[in-house]
Amino acid sequence: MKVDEREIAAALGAGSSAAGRAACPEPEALARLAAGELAEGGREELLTHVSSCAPCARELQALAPMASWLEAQRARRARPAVWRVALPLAASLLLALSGVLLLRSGPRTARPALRGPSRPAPRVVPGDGVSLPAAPEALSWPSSTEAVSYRVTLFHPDGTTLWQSPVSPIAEVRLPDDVKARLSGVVYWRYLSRSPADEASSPVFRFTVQR
Amino acid sequence: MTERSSSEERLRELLEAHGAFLHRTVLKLCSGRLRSHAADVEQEVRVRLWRAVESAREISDPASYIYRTAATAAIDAVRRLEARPDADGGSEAEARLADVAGAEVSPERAALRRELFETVMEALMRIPESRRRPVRLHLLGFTSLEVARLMGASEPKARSLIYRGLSDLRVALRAMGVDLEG
Repeated sequence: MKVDEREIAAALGAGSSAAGRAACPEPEALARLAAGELAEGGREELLTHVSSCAPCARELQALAPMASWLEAQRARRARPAVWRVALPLAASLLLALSGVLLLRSGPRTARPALRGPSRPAPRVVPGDGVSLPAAPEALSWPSSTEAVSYRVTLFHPDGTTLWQSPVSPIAEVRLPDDVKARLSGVVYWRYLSRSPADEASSPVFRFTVQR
Repeated sequence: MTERSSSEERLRELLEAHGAFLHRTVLKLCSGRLRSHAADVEQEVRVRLWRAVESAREISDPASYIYRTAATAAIDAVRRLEARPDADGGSEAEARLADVAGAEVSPERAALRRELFETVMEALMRIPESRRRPVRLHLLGFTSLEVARLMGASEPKARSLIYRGLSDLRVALRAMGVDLEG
């Protein structure tokens, strides 16, 4: 019988997948292995498992790009001593300069901890940061020509999910009565736009319900 | 300042400094079918960071910590997806395997594959132990650089172990009546 590496790989994948995942290591252990953070003993034990478990091997492969990134970061941190002095100095100067600029631009409201990276925020209703006497009846946002459906998630300030809407084809969701009854204090929310090719998350918005 | 508001402040600072990195990391980790769950994974990472900050855990290298937390959350999400029962009561992984079997692998082919698996496993046991693992990782799709990183070895050494291991495997398979081409 003649075979090539591809057929052997398929056979190994299918054979090891059939064994089930009860003995698979915790995700954290795989992440540490990919990041090169395991001592030799632990690494050997995990590699023995991964080299005979196709699902774990796939999970580990998915982490490979980030492992390369971390390696580059570590190499950057190990740069010559002159940079260790010069860079913080340059950073301090920049910070001082930005501090002056900030003072000149007046007071700012702190960005809530659960918000994502800065980007232009779309206009939403209720407006971002508003304070309301009662829970809003609905949430709405600008519709996108590419989006085919939307989904909204409400969060508590500590990041736990308060409510998730059903998938909706329109850029508005009405809040059910039982959800409105639970809204009090600061509420964070965002919507997910799904297009045939992609899915994008909005920035996180905030409103406050004063009861 | 209360303990809770102090934690909120620490989390805010952590996310101000590393929020964009967290977002990019999650997007990179959530490829393929996990892509549509990227927002949920990102939210899960934020919750885990919040718990870490609240428990006053020392985070000495935030980027590494965020990466590891994101990687863990992404793998958790993949495993949840695989284990989630579908509408017919089976798991998504089983459904996918059944799709693949129905579309591409006939019962005869599946039986041959099973037979080949057992033959290769036996042949692998006949090659030197130091080369067995690199060869298996190579056959599972890892590049020589990735094998080197995982084993804590240099890339030329990993490449050499794979090359020699494949050569050993070829000899062992031939003795069992299987010709490994290439």
